[in-house]
Amino acid sequence: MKKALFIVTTILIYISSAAQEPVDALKFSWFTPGGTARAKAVGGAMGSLGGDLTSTFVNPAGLAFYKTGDFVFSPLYQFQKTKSNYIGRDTSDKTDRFNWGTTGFVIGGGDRRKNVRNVAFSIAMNRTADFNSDVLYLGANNQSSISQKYVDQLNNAGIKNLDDAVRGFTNGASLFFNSYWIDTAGSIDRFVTNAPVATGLLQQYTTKTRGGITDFALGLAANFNDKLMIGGSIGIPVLSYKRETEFLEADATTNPNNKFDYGIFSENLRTKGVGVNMKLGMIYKPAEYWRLGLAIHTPTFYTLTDTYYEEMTLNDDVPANQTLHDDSKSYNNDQANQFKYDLMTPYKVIGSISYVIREIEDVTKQRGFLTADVEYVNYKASSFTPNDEANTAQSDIDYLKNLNKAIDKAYKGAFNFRAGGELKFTTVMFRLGAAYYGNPYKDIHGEKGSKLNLSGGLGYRNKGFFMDLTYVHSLNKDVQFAYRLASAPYYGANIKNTAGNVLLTVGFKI
Amino acid sequence: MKSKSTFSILSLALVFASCTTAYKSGQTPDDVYYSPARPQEEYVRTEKKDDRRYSYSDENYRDDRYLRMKIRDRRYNGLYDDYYSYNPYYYHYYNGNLIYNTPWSSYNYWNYYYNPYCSPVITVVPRTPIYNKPRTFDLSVYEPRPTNNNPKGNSRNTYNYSGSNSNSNSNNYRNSGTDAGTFLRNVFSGSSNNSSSGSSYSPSSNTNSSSSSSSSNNSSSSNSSSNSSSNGAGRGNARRG
Repeated sequence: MKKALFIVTTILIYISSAAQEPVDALKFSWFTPGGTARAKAVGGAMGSLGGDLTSTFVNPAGLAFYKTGDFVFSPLYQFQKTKSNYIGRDTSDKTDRFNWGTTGFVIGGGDRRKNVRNVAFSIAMNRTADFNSDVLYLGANNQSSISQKYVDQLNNAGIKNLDDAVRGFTNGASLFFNSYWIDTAGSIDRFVTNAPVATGLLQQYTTKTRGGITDFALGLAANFNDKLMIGGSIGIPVLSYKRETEFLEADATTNPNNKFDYGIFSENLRTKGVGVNMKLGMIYKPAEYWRLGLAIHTPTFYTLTDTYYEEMTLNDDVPANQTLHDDSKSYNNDQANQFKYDLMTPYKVIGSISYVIREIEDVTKQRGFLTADVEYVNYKASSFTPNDEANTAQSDIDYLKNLNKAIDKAYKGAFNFRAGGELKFTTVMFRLGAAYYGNPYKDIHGEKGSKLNLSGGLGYRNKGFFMDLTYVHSLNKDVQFAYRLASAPYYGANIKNTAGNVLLTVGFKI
Repeated sequence: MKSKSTFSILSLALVFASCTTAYKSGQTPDDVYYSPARPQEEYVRTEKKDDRRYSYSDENYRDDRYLRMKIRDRRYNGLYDDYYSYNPYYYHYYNGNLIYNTPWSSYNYWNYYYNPYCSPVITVVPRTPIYNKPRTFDLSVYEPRPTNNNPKGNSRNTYNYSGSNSNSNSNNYRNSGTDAGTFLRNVFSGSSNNSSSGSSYSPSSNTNSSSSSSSSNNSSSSNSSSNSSSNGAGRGNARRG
């Protein structure tokens, strides 16, 4: 009896001692935020420049430059190509999407005779993150199988009862066991894969992600003596993330007697939720033409709900061409699983400098500007916590603590750099810019990533109307792991994503 | 959803575009460089123009509203071609009772669904509670270990697939006319239509690359020691078909 109780306890602890991965924290914090076409054309460097609606999302103090008002809307078209290299084999995939960039309005006004020269407020939305991506990679592997991830799961759980293996892990290991992708090895307490690793496996991994983070923000800023601008904004980011992944593994040989022809394991995840954050900033003008900026972004506090289910198809050659199917819903009243939790994303600190020629009313004498931002993001500061309303089990709470420790091991702080400039000829403007987002990974297994944006744009401003057109060329490098193993070699796929973004901002002076 | 937001934003744009009259002449300020005070006089004049106010008791207003509703709602032209059918405060008799034709009247069939004092039939679909649990992963894999990332093997060819917005990129084998295993073997042997160049797969092609990796656990390396088999049926809820 005592022994049985120990086994059940072990299983329950194991089930609950594994939840979100560290990568779930990174995907909601490592991205290139959107902006108006003008801001994106100068690399998104808006930490000290001001006078653009994008300031609401970078340094709200920049709103204090407004004594007039703007209404802007920014349609965006994105086309991207993703090249992957997995075990020496190159693969590519394409996708394209329409979206909205920064849209909203800002209104400013005041009295030049007072110390507080003017006050401005804004209401705006911004596409803070875009998750639209299609990735496909494949490779030949004779070192490991995805099923070994679940073999490890069963072996580590200390299973002594067949039914625990059949129904104890219905979002992963049980599906592999029930369809004979993995099996027992002589006795019920040891599990092995049926995939013929030694003779070679052909693997294909596809992932389709959709959604994004749309930030709705209210900004307020004040101008003190045209020297110091102070501002803040409250943001309500609405997060929607959908991911469909499928891992296909096939026998490299056509041996009909090894009980494995191919297996397909697919996962469907939907994450939805709302968060809240604050951005505080100041811009100081030490001398004519110069602007210095400092901004702090608080972490975003999200309440998120994951809805997820898994499906399995396996052809074991017994009988031939009759595949086995299993899915997690069939063990859960035909419903997907859910998990509600809280996520805190990293804080950010931005320092910035700008040089503006000239800060005078006559637009014919305005010549251009140079601007640069440096941003620090501590990616390992992300943390998962149980949601108060979710009645989370103690074992899940303990797991989330371990997960936060794993995040500390997986990620680090990184610096991001943004810079750009504009040349202005009364009503027509030309812009160039660049942005580099540094590597957020600690090197555990060859992880490395970066994002580089190169941008250029044109602008026209006359008769109360302005229009900016920008092209941003994104070169993103990342590593993706279809599975990680503690007991066998595994490989990451090097992902190179190239994206073209055409962004148009149309605005009206109000 | 996206078309709704597009429509809303464009509508707002039209509204704000009408507010730009103050800057139609003269220079258009660029707030990045310098933001001048707002030209107040123009705004005062605009406000003065907008001094006409409607009243519900105004007969002209009711006539105007009736005509606008009629134009907008062409479906009812033949049925209710009279003023009082469109008058929200028009009353009529129903079962001897005087009924006002107002949105708050429970006798109006459309209001039935919104009135808390009516007794609508509420259908409750019983749902079993969803099991609240997180997704499962083994966190020990995030401990640092020797790198065996992506060996540069000798089977380096490119497989191109162009996905569209609506189709999953995982559909490639589903459209191939073969099963998934055969499809993948064809891709690696170079006989698939999707493969741009061919090379034969050799199981030993990445053997050398594993020298720096951790050793494989015997318990999870092959099927040689398995003592049970499917015998045609799956375990749990797994089924064939």
